[in-house]
Amino acid sequence: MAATLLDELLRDAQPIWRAMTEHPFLRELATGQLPRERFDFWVQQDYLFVQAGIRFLALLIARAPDEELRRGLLDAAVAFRNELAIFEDYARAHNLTLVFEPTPVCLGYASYLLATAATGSLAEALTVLWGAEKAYYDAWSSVRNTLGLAEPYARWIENWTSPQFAAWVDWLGQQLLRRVTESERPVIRAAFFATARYEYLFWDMVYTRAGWPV
Amino acid sequence: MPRFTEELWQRIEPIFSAILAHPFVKGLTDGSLPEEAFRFYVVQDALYLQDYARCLALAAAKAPREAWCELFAEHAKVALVVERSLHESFFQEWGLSEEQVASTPYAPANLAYTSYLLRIAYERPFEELLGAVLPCYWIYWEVGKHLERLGSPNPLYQRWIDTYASEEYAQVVRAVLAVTDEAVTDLPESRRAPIRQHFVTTSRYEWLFWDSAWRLETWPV
Repeated sequence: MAATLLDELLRDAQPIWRAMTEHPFLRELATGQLPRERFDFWVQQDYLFVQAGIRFLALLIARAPDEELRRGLLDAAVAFRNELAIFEDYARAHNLTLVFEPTPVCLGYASYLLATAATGSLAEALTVLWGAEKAYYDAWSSVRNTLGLAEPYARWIENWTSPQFAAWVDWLGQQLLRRVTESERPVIRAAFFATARYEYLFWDMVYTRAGWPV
Repeated sequence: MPRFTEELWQRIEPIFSAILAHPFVKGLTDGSLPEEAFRFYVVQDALYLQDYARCLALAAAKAPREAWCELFAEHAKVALVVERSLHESFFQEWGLSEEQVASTPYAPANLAYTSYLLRIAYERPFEELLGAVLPCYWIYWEVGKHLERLGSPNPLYQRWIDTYASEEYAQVVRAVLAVTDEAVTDLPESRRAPIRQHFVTTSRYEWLFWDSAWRLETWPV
């Protein structure tokens, strides 16, 4: 029964998932047509998001009921720290500031993660984390299929499509399956859909540079 | 020296003007607001109030003084009482059951706003939490007073306006303003800056919340 939950979520969210992995931002990136300033804007916004991700992991580590989950999340926090270094190296090489105001979508998504860690169940928070990581694995895998490990994106592509990253996403999915109860399923579903929508919106926001209206 | 809360308000004057000028808010008093948008708004507001109550409960838990703990615990309860009263005042008339309201998806602006509130409530110290929850209290009071002067030809909208322009509500807001000014008295600038930042951010979300209802906002995917 349990093994099908993840497949079921991915199947039901397929229209959102496809809109996300086929977003013009990723398509242009994969075909080498993405203007540099658009990519730079993603670097600035995603840097903020990864920073929020580390806080999110820290909150989950504090809530983890056993050593296995705690260690897995700790390793992930270290991996996130290494991700930040990719952004920082790029910013340094391209003279780009990383001190930037989050857009509404970046702040909304980051807050959603942190609010879930604060008041959601553990399974709900793991759903959001698994959804976000699975989305990145799929989005960057589709880029890799077209582009390979081309510069200036190679380190990011490598980071989010490596066998280690794939194993981490699978492990997270298994952790989620082990901890979800039957009565939690509607909440899990809502959390997964919210995450998938935010993933789409994030690419869309960096593509359109959607800022604060007031 | 102006009070800290006066200084806060000065920072959001352009946002507050934008709220008063918004077609949703204007439409409440000139009657041009489509009832569909108002219904959207009240349903989202009911969802919002459940999370707002949680934030106020966290404020109570973090309050450094017993009187403030009592105040926010009381307000957390009031938020839920108000949420329930929406069912009697509006939802029954529209034939909306509690389950229907509870199962309505959060609009994007609402999910972002409530997530931000919950996150700050959980992560940050008491005084920062005050900065985040204050615009909801205060902007509603100011909007309520403004709308009351103008009145509405639509009895449904007038009933809503009366709630937020009441003297009872004014006292609630004054109490929170007093707590805020008292809580910041000996804080260094470094701890005042994030309060201002949260205050401006949730004021922006207030505008976005009205705008979301006006546009009947949905998720694009």
